[in-house]
Amino acid sequence: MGNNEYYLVDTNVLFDVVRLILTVKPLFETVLRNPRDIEAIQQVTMNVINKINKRWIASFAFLSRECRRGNCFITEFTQRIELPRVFVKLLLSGDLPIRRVGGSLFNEVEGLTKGWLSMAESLFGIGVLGMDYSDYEVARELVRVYETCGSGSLVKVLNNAMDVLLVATALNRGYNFVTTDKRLVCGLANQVITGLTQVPSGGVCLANARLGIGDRALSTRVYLIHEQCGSLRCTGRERWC
Amino acid sequence: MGCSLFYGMPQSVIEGLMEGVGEDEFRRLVLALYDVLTGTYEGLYDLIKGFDEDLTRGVSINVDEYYREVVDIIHNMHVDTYYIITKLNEALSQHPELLKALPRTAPTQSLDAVNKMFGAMAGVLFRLACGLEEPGRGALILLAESYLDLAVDKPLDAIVLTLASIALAHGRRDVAAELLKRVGVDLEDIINFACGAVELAKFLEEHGIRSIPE
Repeated sequence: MGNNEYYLVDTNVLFDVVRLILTVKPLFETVLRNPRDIEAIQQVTMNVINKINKRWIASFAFLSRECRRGNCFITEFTQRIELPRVFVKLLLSGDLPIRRVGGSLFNEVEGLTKGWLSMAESLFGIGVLGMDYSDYEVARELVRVYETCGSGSLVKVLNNAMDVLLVATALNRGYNFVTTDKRLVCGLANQVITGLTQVPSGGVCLANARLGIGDRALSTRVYLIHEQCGSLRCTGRERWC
Repeated sequence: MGCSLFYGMPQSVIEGLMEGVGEDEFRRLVLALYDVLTGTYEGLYDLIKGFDEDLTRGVSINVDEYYREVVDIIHNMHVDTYYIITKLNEALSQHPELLKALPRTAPTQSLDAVNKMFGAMAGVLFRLACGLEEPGRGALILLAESYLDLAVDKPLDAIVLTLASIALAHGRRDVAAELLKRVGVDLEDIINFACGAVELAKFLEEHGIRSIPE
């Protein structure tokens, strides 16, 4: 971790930061309403603690130190596909109440997504990375590694095409990749991602991603933020090859 | 700092918990661990109190000296606890029956709850801080960040941030900035990030969203 590093950030890490702030709202309101009502504060604190995931705290601690203005990015694919997916999930889970609209449902979701992201861009300084042909080339090469492992492996890697594209982009640009996706990291383990260890900060695992393309040797760091970091292992079943 | 649950317990409570645990060596090691952690706690308390008094009196602050002292306290605690815990593990591997005699509360679960509590407190302080003006805003955000560092097991950063928070509350931005430099933190960056997170959460709340499913 250093001052001049660039990070490609998975959407879920960003949402973790917001999850922590959203979850503590009842406790914040209780404290504000009556700071001397210790019994009520204790009760709400226990409810809040039961809802908090340790990973959210680790994501917040990690990004607040590493993301300075202009060194953290999401990709265009994340912007246009992954973010709307999260908002559709909010919609269908009932967490996002919408009014009855005459127009397109997609426009409604897209409007909210754009509004949120534009705030994230201006408040966090998160940038949106346009991807190009060279990113695609690296992604194809990564998939080829799994073609040699058999059809089952190829299916698994293509079922995760969007995430694979993220790893490929990070490799191509030499950006550190920050994710909460153990399934992805373990899926690529042994072939592309190796050396999963814990960094000296709770809840964050560090691994290396490497890929050879012709005479180019691409490598980058992968930060996996996960509640099991410290004792996390990838099993043979979790690996795609 | 991972054993912070010990801090608040009097020695008699620790001794009570160890009653019925067979091996003398094991009991001795647990009490030694307690001594190390309470010693660390007292050392840090004295250091923070002394720092606050120096600022109140307006005497010149030697940031290097304070930083070195924090490093020493945390380093000694790590070395001592590492030694004792290694010995405890040896004792447990020779006498696994001791595990059965230990109190029922799973230590990892308790530690998880403490870490989550630090996280929750940090979240509340972020919300509170971002509604304030400077210097209260910065001081509270640094305090919240120090809770986050405790939750993710970064005790050195946590204590340095606490000192910086106190410095800022005393209007000594220069001392705070010097301290923060030691742990690679830029005050403006973390204020922007924390208040950015609060604003993003509020944006969702304004649209009726109170949580985000995993």
